[in-house]
Amino acid sequence: MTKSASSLLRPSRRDLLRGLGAGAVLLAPFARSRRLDAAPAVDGNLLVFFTPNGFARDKFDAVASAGGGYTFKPSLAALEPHRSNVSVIRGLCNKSASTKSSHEDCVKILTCVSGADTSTGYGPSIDQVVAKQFGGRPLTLAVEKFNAEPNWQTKISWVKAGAFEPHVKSPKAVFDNVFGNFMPPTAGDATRAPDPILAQNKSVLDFVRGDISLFKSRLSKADQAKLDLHLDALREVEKRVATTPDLSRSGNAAACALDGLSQRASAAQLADQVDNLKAQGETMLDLVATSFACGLKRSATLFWQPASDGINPNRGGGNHHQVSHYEAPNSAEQWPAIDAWYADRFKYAIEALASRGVLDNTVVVWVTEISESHNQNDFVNLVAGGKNLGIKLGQYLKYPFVGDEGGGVSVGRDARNRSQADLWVSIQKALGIAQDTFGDAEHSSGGLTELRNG
Amino acid sequence: MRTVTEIGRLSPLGFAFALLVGCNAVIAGNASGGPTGGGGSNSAGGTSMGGSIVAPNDVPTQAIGALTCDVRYAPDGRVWRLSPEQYAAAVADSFAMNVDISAMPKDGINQSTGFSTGSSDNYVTVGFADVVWDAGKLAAESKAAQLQTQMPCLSSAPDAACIASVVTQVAGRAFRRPLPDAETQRYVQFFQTQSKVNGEGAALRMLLQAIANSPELLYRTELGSGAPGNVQLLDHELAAQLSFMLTDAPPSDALRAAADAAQLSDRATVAKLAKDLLATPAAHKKGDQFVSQYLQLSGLDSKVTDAAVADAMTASTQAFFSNLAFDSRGTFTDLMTAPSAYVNAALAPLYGVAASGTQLMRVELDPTKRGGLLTQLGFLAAKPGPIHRGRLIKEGFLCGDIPAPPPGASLQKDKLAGPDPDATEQQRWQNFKSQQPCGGCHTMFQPLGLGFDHYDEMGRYRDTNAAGRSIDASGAIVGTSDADGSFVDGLELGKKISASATGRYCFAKRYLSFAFGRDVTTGRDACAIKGVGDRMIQNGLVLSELFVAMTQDDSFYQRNNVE
Repeated sequence: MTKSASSLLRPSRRDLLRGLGAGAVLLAPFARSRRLDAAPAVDGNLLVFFTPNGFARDKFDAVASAGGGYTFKPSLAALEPHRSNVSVIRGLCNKSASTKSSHEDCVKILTCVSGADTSTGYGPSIDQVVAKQFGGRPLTLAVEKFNAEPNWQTKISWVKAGAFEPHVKSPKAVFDNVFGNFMPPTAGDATRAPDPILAQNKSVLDFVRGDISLFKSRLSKADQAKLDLHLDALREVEKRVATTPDLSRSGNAAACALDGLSQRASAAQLADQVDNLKAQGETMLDLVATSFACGLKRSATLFWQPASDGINPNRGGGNHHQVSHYEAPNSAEQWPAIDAWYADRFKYAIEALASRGVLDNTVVVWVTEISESHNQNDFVNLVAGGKNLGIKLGQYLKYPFVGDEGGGVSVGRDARNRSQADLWVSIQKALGIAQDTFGDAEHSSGGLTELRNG
Repeated sequence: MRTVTEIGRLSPLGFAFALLVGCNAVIAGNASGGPTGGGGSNSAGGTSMGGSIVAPNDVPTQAIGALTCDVRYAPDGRVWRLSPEQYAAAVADSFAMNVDISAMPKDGINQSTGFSTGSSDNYVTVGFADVVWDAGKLAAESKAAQLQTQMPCLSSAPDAACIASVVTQVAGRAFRRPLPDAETQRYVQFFQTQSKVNGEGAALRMLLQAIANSPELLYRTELGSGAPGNVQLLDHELAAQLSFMLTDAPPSDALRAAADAAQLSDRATVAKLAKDLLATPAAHKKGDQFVSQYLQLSGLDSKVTDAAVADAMTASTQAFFSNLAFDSRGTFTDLMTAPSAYVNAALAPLYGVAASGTQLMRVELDPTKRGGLLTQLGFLAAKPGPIHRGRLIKEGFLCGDIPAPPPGASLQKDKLAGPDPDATEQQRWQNFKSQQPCGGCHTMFQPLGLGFDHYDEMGRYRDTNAAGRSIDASGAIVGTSDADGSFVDGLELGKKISASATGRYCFAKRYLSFAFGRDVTTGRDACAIKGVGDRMIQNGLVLSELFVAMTQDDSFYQRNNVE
């Protein structure tokens, strides 16, 4: 393990919390605490909301208000009704990015582990870490229709180093797998008799596991690792097909209602690709919110479109990537409009969770592939919900950023710049994972104490 | 940089030549401390789950033909999870049931090969296992019903011999090999145990479910006897390799019979069987997958807003390749120069021809305006603009490496665009090429894309840009030695690629990576590339000869089992 650069260059505590005009909190890069939290008093959930191609910075941010609080810049204006449930964080850097520090580093945004291959994630991603904490796997969802096969542009969720979790792109598959064997509590029959099929399924799975063990014994270590992942996957299958559903976390009947969800999940794709993106994405968000409300899932990633690509929701010519490089008509106007379109979807996510009574127990994080112009520095992230998990909302947290934004990972790693890993540290703590680091230990500083105590 | 440890794999003459010529990936102007070479201490990290790759220095692609190959490289033994399409074909074959794999995650594109066929990074994910489970349940139910009508011994209290014959029949088909007795008995015992608890009907279904979820169905092996070190693949492994490689389907009855008769170590027999498979529709479909991934046609989804047009572009490009590769003994030269296209009403205006309906019809185009794969709409619209077109040509058709842009490269966009908004791409390039830090590396590939500036972002031919200025599509290939030189436009560029050793062996290398499902390099695999490329060249550059040649190389038959 290499010695932490940041620990050698830690600034003085005087740098902490210098004012930046009324309302803004200028946050020093070391505001940290080594106190580990106890497990949270309430069950929590995580939703990662991923969009491609960064953002047009001058309109995708917030402005501190006199007397505290903030106002959104124009691209985020749709979120105004929910400002008290949203914190805007400016200035974090992906310190685990490759030397390229560009589009390809989307594979490392949710893992924060360095590694030589620009197209590989080297550790479990935050959605996997949170799901594992609760003994499961996350929902990793993406919106049809895009790249036929996953490539680096779509690999953000990693089970472990080198093993990415593909997105499920079919809402129907999500519904069938999450709710197919589930009867919501409206049935009022928690004393249901055990289904003999569940025991039969368990016997088959046990036999298959035996087969896999025999098969595995003949293989190289590298191939054995693949079979271990296969066994992991069967444990998830087992929960679905061989385990009596646990209704203890199902919340109230209204929150867990599946009304109409099956039909929406089975709806045909729309011919217009932007209409389809909206409809499919919002259905996915409702599936996530309902899975949280029913206590069936604890972690999810919604991947809207591929990195360095993406449908243009503004319909003004060129794809999202071309717009972000000013290669499309009227790109300067189109880019903020695309950002605003996604802000509307982020609003939908907040409302989908709130309407099912789980927003205060769910942290929603909007993370982008890059910040602006091919770099992994000085991000703008949005965090919504999670009030019951200790997340402090209604804030504009502006961390100082030093250096040339386009200067690559060496600039991002400047000890004065704050790490995106600390956002994930705070979130994992909110969800009961008492760890002061996430990913590369040397790039974590104990979490963003301004976002959450501890 | 790859570690040199297997020098003896190439002949002394060949390796000396490789050293003399040097690495064709070294780029002038790549600043020290720049983007390449980072993380060099992590020597095993580059191949995800597949472990480390150790190989001699790469041989320049154009030098492959001059190698003398005495000793061939034996690839590592491995297991290879079936792709969703292969899995569906395997279930159809052994359970007579069509599986809906639409909810199964597609296999990912391997960044090193550019194809989804890689064996190292595909595994059974939750999404994959979910579909296998659900399909296995349905398959078991339907197969149980079918067997109960076919096998009287199942009608009441089936004995061990009856169940053993079920296992032999179903698992033998599903696992693509005969089962040893001990393996059969394991299944029989499972049936007997479950029969006591759940009854015979349920036990039969459960037995069939276990077969449908078995790793022996879901993976194919390339392990031979399993002994450490160099081994010959078993006949049934060869049969599966040949069939899945060419058609994404399990072995046919004829292929199984040849494997049962231990005939597959005879390479002439394998060549004949390969030719038979190449004549099937399934081989065409596999060719569709190759050309789609080769040209990165999935990028059409976001760039062409009308899905019908995007889909037609893909199908049209696939048809162009398929016709040459499978139907007409087309050559590599045809692939890079033939002025034909497959057109329907959606594509006709883009090609400037007349067509109606949705059916694609072959048309001959003006040879002064179109020629070859790189003037097909699929490539042109998936890669609008000279940078992305040029990059794909450099990496995909000349097998050149392009270093990562230096930090902050995107901030040079203003330099790239230049001061004149009406400038042609050629004018912009002339302004940009001398500007550092970008111009140096862009010289390797951007002019290749400029060769196709007569085609707009949808692939329409044009003589002027939007501002009315005349297109100048001239440029030069650099960095290959034998293909180097100037061209007047993309048509001449395509001819230069098809006439060069670089272009020919590069195509062989790319197809081998796709077919063999691993990162075929010009180091350790140089002799395999040579063998396959030479056979294509010696047979008048006929593409189908290349596909057959893959089955004649030592690396098709031998493996090296590692820890």
